[in-house]
Amino acid sequence: LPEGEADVLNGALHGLRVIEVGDFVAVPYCGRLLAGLGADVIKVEPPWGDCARRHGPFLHDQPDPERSGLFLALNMGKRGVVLDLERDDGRARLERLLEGADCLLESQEPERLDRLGLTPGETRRRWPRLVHVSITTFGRRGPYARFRGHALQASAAGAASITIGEPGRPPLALPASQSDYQGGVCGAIGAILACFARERTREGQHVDVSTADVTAFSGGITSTMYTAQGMPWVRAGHRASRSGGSYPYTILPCRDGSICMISRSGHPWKAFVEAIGSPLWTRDPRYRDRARMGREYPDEVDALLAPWLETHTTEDIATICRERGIPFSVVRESREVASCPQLASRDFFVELRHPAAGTLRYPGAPWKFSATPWRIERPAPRLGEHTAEVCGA
Amino acid sequence: MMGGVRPLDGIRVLDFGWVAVGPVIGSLLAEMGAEVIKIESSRRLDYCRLLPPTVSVRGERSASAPAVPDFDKVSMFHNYNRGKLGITVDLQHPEAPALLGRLVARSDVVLENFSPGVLRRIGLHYEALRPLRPDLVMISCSAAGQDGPWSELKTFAPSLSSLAGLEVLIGYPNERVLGALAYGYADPSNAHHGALAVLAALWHRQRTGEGQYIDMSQLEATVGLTMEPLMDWFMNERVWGRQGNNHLSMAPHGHYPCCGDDAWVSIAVEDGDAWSRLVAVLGDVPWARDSRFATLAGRREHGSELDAGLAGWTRERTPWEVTHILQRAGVAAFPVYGLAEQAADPHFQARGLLTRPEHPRIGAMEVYAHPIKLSGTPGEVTGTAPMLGEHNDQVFRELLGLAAEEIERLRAEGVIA
Repeated sequence: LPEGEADVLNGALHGLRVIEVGDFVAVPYCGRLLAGLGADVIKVEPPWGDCARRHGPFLHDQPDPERSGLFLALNMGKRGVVLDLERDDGRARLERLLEGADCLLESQEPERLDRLGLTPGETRRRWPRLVHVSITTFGRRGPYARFRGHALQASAAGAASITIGEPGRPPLALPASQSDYQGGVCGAIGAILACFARERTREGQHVDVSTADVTAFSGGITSTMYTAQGMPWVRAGHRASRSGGSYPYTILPCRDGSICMISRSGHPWKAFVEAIGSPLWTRDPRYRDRARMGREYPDEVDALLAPWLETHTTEDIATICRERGIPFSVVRESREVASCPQLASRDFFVELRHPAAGTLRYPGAPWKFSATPWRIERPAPRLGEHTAEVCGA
Repeated sequence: MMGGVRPLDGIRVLDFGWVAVGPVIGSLLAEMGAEVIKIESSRRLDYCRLLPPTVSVRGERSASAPAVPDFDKVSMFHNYNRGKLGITVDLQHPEAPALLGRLVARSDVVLENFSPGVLRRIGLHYEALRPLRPDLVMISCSAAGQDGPWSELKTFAPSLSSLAGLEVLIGYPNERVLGALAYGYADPSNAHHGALAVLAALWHRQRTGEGQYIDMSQLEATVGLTMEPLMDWFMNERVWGRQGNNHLSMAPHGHYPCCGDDAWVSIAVEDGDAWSRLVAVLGDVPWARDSRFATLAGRREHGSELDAGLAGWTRERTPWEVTHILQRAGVAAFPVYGLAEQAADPHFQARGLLTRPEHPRIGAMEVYAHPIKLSGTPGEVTGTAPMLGEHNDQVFRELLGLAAEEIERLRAEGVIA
């Protein structure tokens, strides 16, 4: 390994080589995290490209595989090669890449994995030191390992959807493929853990991440607060089931937007009641018992708050809450997130120039590493941009 | 299984985490082999220890007796803190920094999720700890990061994801914001992003001997999950409202009604081939062959007619009947599960979703295992969460080598408390 000053600016995972064979969100998000942390990530696409290239949103709403916002954001920092894995020469090129790799990230359908000779058993036999990370909806083991699924099915199976939406109407999935992002970060964790284990065992292994498992875990650990108090794990519109035990645990509309209001201890609620001028109803014993208000008649309290909320803007309410230490927050749209002073002061958004999409802002990393800064040095690859460089002509 | 090796064997973690994000980072590292010591104080209990179940002050469960939290038996606390050792130190005591500094010298990782400045005020910030352990890896994961105008921000998971631009997406199209308030999405997501950073820093340390400090912002980690609406804003200045179950490149894509009480099935069609497979199994239904539905653009444009047609078919069947029919045809489908169906499901059971560590005094506590499955060196939930101060003697006597009299003195003076 290189030593001395040149090493100082390397990312934490400098020296790890990762081959990514998976499209849309889960594997690409995993690869993006590892790339930003310093790994050399090579993205393998079929000749028709990652399906995120066809997903959008597109620059100026013009569909173009080089101008899909989701693809551009999830694949920055990687090199990209095109290989037709249905052909012998394509597979041979992938196999050569795997010879020199530390990790394979994949999310192929089981039938395709069999056909390509890339099952975990096969990669283990051929490349014993390779860490093989699968990120799929149901995992590679278990009765549903051959089921088809997407983030929607992970949200359904993971008991997330059942908690979102209004009673009697269709449940809602976690939005914008969130289960895939969670599978991605868990895949990245698994990749590094397996690399640590390899230091001792000298062997790679299979990391089997199921986005349904991750979704079930993520809500499950918190669901125990509800089940232990006899509150059902069901959807209850704009609030948590039974208000999570006490009022408020809700999102309510105000004059120009919405406010997320949660008060676990009594103090923030008391401070809020004072801030709205302690109207008469707040002295009624019926509206002083936060447990009963939350569990039995939250609609009544919502209606009593409505006149005040309807005459105040998100900015008014945010100011009042900040001054009084009330942890309510504004429900922000992407426009407000993009101009957030806190994110600006930490240089969270990064600007990158892409030859087809031009100069755009992108979300950066959530970490500041003191010794090994997170860094994205290149935009997402154009389709096949690095095939010659990586695989030879 | 490779000889009982676990990935993080030999790593010791001091876990100042409290409530959710810090504790879940610690429990993940513990499951993967690290020795994780949770630092608590009986003077300021972790909020999660104060949730029900409660017991009466006389130690019996009763509706009329005054109730106090049975803080060693809170289910959520065990889910967030299983597999750790537990010690109690009053962080406000003048002797606390010196005592904890001795533990830092013997540790690899320090993690915390207090508001910025809390550890600095008591002299346990990174710059103060580094001389005690030059290759220390430390992570702080506050709501908004250690600096900036909002660094003092205090949030719960849904208020954080509200600020991050995620909750605004949740609701039926053109209606009010509903949000996902019960699910608490941001907390486990932030814990996983924090754990990833710790592991990357440990990897760097293993190669170079160099430790470091990581300043993580939960707000930033959550904003980074809203790629689609953010990029649409940056590229087209379009603002996304409530998304329902819509998807830019799949239709149908939603939860459809079935026969049964609150019974639903999820169906997602990712491309034209999948649509043809779906139409083939629907049988003789003329609406599905309508040319308006032949393309993705058409199916999205006429989404409500499409959903109504499909619901007419699903409504005649149970969620599992639909799932079997569609999966056999190669169409993505699965029932919308509640917790009971999920716990009883053979697939989740085979994958070890739930496990029941036991404790001699607390008993068995059911917890959700971490969902990262390693074939050769799997993690393991090694025990319940600790009772309050359960491992004071073990940590201070065996690890730090303090004499029994010294430990007694620290107790008497309220340092160990």
